[in-house]
Amino acid sequence: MTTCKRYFRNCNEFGICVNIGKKGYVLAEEPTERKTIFQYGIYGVGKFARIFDPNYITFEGGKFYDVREYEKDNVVFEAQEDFFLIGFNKLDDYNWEGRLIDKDESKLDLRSIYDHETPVNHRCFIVCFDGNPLVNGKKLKRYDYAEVTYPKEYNINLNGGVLGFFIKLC
Amino acid sequence: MILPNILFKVISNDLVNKSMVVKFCRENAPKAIDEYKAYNISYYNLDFTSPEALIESIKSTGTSIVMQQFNNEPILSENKPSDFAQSVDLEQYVGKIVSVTLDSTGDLNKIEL
Repeated sequence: MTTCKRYFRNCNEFGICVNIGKKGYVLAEEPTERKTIFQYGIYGVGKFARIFDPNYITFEGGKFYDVREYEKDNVVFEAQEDFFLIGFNKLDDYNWEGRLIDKDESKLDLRSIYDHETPVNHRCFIVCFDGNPLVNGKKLKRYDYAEVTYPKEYNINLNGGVLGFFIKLC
Repeated sequence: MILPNILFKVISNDLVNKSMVVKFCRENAPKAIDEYKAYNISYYNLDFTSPEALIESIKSTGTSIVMQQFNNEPILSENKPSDFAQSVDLEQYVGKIVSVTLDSTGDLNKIEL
């Protein structure tokens, strides 16, 4: 029998959904529980799609996926290998942007988000998905998160780890 | 996480000054309630509208005291965590004492940068 460990962690702004399982595991989610808008694979491979849709995405370890179009949809995931997936979940109706921080990104660019003639109220967060990245010299571990605010500067050293950067569009 | 009950014991009641002296501890405390510090609580902080309300108001005062007692309890020298590098090899853990943060909330760990 294939198995999967599934757990959730929340802060007031967003949630993290973790799935760790064996090859062959099949997970289906219906619209009320499908809140994941971005996905990061720690390891493993699996197929992900809307139920009955022949077009699928192949989730692979080490990659980040924008799955906003599947929010509140009927979806299914089938593991082709043992897998470890981390989902970034919405908790409210705000829209989000998300990406991984690039290896060459030694400073976080918040100016381009906030420095406009018309003030914006977006809120930005970084989330550690893997390893021990250093931000302003502080070592993070998996599932640590921080709100980052402009005009404060943030020096980043991924240190072989993985950091997600998310903007809540307020 | 299920937390133990809180115990309280009224040591004296001062009708003139409208206050009482009370001791608190948790049900599974490592020593007797009489060995804990006593606190003076004014009637002003108590709710006498019903027996349940009175007990609830005493509990409200006692909760932070009991949590403080819990946090102040000494760590036995036998329970001092071992110094060693983290590993995914379970053999490295055999016989070692590892200290980890107790997180019963399921909340993400917020870091201030």
